[in-house]
Amino acid sequence: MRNNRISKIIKHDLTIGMKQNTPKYILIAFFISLFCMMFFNGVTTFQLTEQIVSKGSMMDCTIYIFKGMNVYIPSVESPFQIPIIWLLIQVMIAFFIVNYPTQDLHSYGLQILARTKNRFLWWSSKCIWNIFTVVSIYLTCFTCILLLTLFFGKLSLTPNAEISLLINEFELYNLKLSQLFVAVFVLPILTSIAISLLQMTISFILTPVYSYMIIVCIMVASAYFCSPIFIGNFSMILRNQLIYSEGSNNLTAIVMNIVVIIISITVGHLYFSRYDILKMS
Amino acid sequence: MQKILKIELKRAFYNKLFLISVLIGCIITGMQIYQNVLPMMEYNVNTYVEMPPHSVFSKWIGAGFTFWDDLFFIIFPLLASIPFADSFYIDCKTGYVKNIFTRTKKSDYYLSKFIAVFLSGGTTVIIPLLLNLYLSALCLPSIIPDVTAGTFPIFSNSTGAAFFYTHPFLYVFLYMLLIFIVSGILVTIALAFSFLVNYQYVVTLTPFMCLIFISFVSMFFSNPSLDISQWIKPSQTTVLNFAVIIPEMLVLALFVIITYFQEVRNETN
Repeated sequence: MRNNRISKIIKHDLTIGMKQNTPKYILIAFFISLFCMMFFNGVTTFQLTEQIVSKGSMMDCTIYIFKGMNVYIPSVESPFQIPIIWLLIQVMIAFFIVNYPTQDLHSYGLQILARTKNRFLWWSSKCIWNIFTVVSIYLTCFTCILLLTLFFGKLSLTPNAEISLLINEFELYNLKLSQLFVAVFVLPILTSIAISLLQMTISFILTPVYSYMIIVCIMVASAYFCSPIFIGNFSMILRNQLIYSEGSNNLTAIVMNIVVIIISITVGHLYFSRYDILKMS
Repeated sequence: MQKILKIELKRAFYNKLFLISVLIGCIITGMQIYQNVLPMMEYNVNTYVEMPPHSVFSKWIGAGFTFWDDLFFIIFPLLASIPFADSFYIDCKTGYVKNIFTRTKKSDYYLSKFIAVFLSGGTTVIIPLLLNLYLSALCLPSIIPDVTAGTFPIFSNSTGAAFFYTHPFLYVFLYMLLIFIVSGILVTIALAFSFLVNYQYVVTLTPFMCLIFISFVSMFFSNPSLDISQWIKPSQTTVLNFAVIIPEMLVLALFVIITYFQEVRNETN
């Protein structure tokens, strides 16, 4: 009976949450396609001058989109330029998450809470929806990259040394492919899950707009400072220890992200169990 | 018209969210004072007489090259939208507009709303900047910028460089006027989206998303002059190019005017 209730709540959240976000999925697919076109355009430009021989692989394209920026050293000659492709993806993910939990709480969610008499069920369902949304966003991104690489590039997970140097701004030597795979395909997803759960928790403590602002501030700080305190660094491939010797290694990043996930879910549950829903409505 | 405008302005400014937004802005600018301006006071006292002292115009938040000014000039649309950007959406959703329309002309209400949102958005951004300038002026001397010092952020190719090095306060205040206008225009985008979108928080966040989108467009077309978050800084990390900025702002303003006032026209007809 209890399992039946949980599955029904989760099914409802996934259905309604996904339905609300459908236009945003189209928007993110559009932007990822644009980013891929920018990448392949760059490859073509270098091919014309014979600096690059091969076509870009799926790994090269994914690194281009999720690379972030090199460690910033403040100086008058080089003003801070936030990596706009990376930031756009992060703020769009935050944009997906901002609305649904609080909106559901003050509408249909009240009915669910009254009938199930169990706040933990509702909160758990929202966490699962959150994780599912982030994973589905990244799946959308990887699908777009895969499709465009099929047409314009090489369907391979092996990075190209020339493209890595000329377009992705790092030297490809002694990199273990398995570790690179984790840095490129696992860490961005895990980091976004951690940040999204944190955002959802803060949105109940403050309001969704303030939680969004805090997440944007964390993103800007992550770009400015190369520090494990600002977890946005874990999603930037150029700040990974594989490429930048003082960056974070994969294991540390995974552990930190899991810690943030656990803290966010726990704090959220504890806060929500005492949350005056009717007053906030 | 005057009465409804007065009501809307009062709602915009006598508002807890306005205070919170200004406070957040003041915290950011205050942190910049603490980290970048106060240490310069000690530097000015302890360095040799021959070394040029740091000036207000090289160290206030608008002079750039610190984390806090980069943060401020990225999140300023969020600060501007929090107080009153979603007020029109809420008024429609709660049915408050029906009370207004029985007592005054619809066009007066819509115009007053537009003015109130514009002014509240601009003011929310300007107050922390003015506070920062004032506090910096309390701590550092207002020395006329000297090209040979090498500590001032404006270079020869910057717009108004000659102006900065002769009348720096006027340069700063004119730039603040520009920031006020740009913030106001960005916040009114939320008004236009109130008709297009069905979720309150999405309406509030559209000015910021618009800024990020424009930054992406500027990168896509390799034209840094388009990026608002860069040229809006008084330090001109990207040179202020009026040939690009004026059309850019006009396009945004036209989008708002056409969408918002077209819907208003449909409603009144």
